[in-house]
Amino acid sequence: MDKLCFCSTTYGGYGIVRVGSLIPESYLLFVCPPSCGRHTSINAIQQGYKNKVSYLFFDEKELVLGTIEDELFDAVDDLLSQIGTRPKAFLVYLCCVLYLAGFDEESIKTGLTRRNPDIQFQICLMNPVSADTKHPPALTMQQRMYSMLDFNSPKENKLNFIGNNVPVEHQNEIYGVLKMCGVKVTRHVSELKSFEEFRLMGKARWNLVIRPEAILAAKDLSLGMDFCFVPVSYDLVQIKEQYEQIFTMLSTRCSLDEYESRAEAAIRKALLVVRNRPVAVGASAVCRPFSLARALLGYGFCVTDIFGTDVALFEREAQKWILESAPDIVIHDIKDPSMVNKIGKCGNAEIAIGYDAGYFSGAKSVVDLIGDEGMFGYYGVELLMNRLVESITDPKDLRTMIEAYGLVA
Amino acid sequence: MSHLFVNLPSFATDYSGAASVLYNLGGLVVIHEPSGCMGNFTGFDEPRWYHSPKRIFSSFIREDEAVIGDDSIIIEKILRECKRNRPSFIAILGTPVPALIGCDISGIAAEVTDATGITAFGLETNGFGYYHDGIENALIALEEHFMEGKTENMYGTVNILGYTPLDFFLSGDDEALRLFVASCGYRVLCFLSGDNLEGIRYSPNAEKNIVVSASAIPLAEKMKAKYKIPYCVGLPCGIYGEEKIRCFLQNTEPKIPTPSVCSGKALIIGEQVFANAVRDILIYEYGFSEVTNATFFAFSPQLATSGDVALSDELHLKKLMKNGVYDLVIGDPLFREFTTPGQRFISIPHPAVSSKLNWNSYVSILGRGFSGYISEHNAQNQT
Repeated sequence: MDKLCFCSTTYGGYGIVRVGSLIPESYLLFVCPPSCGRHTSINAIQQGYKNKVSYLFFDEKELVLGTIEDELFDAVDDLLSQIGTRPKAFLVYLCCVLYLAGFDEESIKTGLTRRNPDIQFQICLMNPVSADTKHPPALTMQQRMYSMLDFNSPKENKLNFIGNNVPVEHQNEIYGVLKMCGVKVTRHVSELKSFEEFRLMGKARWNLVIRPEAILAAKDLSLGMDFCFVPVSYDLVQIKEQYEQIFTMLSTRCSLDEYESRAEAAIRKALLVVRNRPVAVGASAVCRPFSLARALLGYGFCVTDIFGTDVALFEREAQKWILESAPDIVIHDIKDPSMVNKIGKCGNAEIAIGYDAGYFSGAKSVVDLIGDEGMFGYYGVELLMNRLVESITDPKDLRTMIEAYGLVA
Repeated sequence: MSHLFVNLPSFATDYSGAASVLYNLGGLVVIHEPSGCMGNFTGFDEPRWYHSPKRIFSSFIREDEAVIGDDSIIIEKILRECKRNRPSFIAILGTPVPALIGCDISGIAAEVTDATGITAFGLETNGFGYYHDGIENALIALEEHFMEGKTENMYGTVNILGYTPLDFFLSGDDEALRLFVASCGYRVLCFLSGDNLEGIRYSPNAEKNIVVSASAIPLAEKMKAKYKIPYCVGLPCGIYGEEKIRCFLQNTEPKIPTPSVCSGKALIIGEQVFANAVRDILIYEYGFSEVTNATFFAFSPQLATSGDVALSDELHLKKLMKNGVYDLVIGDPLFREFTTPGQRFISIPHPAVSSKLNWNSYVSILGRGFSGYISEHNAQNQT
């Protein structure tokens, strides 16, 4: 980025410490200067997982003298004696400065394991300084997390959803489709009760990657587990293609007509309510904002603005289409410093999908959606359509939504 | 020595304190950081950010830039922004990554000034200190760069030093201070942190300074030495608190009230000036015989009484609350979990501690209503 960056109140997401806390029977220790723990610790209290995370704050002197490793060992001993139930998994998060200082991850892991052989330790990186590299923290987190699985057991007809922090809604057709295609069990980390169950995700034959955050993890695991990268889409054409990919992976198929029809009906119903109201799409809501905008235009909605310019590889084609075929849509770079003066004034959208679109457009109706949470496939389209309608019939306060979610940058 | 925090969150950090001071002054503030640090300030330490964000931006320092130590990148970014919208000043705040790589924040600021002619300064915040360090640094920087010296004696005026949302939230206590000062026959010349640079430029003309948080004591000392402005430290909170400041402004001797019958031992955990004000209420209005103040933040010996404690970490606080045999503890609600059986607790949210968790239940501490709050909650605890 060649300019200063405006971090608006909608900047952030689920947070990688919260992601780690999803591992059942885990405990987390964040080793950092005091400043680095501020947002995650307040968020942990707010979201109810503070009982799973502690902080070891070091000072500059310790950083320079290189005494942090020894203090970390002592702190873990101290912590384990304080927290009651002994965790099965222990994640040590290292901050930017430890990462840049070349902190010896393997040495820590080995040392901690030697002292506590009954606990599986993992080193995770909270290093936003690496956000523009091929190993940004969100992706590295998923790699490290899923490297803790047990890969030694024989494979079974099971499938893991990875990359999504919140499970796909249980009414979603994907579960039925997978069952019809021979998948006996599906797993998502947040729904597991024990660390042993989590480790047994390693027995799955397949991984379904529905958010880009887990693509590196899936590639790492691909020697023993086939995967399918199908980032959540609301475009009926893309959804059909994604199911074809899934069918290819599973070597079988089933009919999707019923689900597609229901999604189409939901679109028609939403159109009757939304009509020609201008809609803004935000990149905080979905990982495919350009695809969503294109799909909505195709369904007959009036899309006027897209908020977010970081374009993933899988979105380039849709972005190109928007630029060429829908040039009236205004694309806003929400990190641009000039945006500080445009809050609530960007465009004329009456409905915003996502917090960023709502904040910058000032739309009265905001669809409460972030990171495609709970969404996938045809039922995802149904849900989105329902929420579009709800945003008009039962509008919610944007700030309340943002505070309730607890964004972490 | 490193510190383990098991129950408590991390507190507001130094660059948040500095940015809070500079917030409304119309400058360009650049936090030299990768993006996570910025989120602490914007999401958790600055309650004004949602409705009225200011030109406080991240440099978005990246790994290669940090490894190479290439300062030209941040300089270019700042120059680009200045071309687009010329600010009245530029402040560059450090965070852990620039601290690690030995980045010369002040040197960068000097280069920016050379290139633009705009006053620029760097603040050596580093994310290892708490918010009071940043407030202190920012206030001193404002004095160095903007105060124009005493051009006239503006009798009947006073500056309020050390007022930020990290201690006072957006409670309207600034207005209460203004009204109180007016009731003493004075008017507020300038709040520091302030609402505009002009006020700061002329603040050396004030007759007196009132320090409302310990982080402003170094500035008050400097203004006393340089501009001969006397100051007092305190909050017009409770009968004695009001009396002390009124007498300071009116050049009279405060009448020390006679404490009522002694009963009980209390601990107040919080910012030192606030804690002292509450101590006076407990002693002079509620008859507590022994009141200890403890703080994780700025600890000025001149404000402390024997037995007051500069807290180092969570364990220190736990031990203090356990071993001190206090009847009553007052502090941020997050400290409540360390109370021992039978110990009463009164919550007074401190934004620098619990952030947005308790913004909606912030208790305004100025005016006599606050004494009533203490009384009411103390009684509730006893029943």
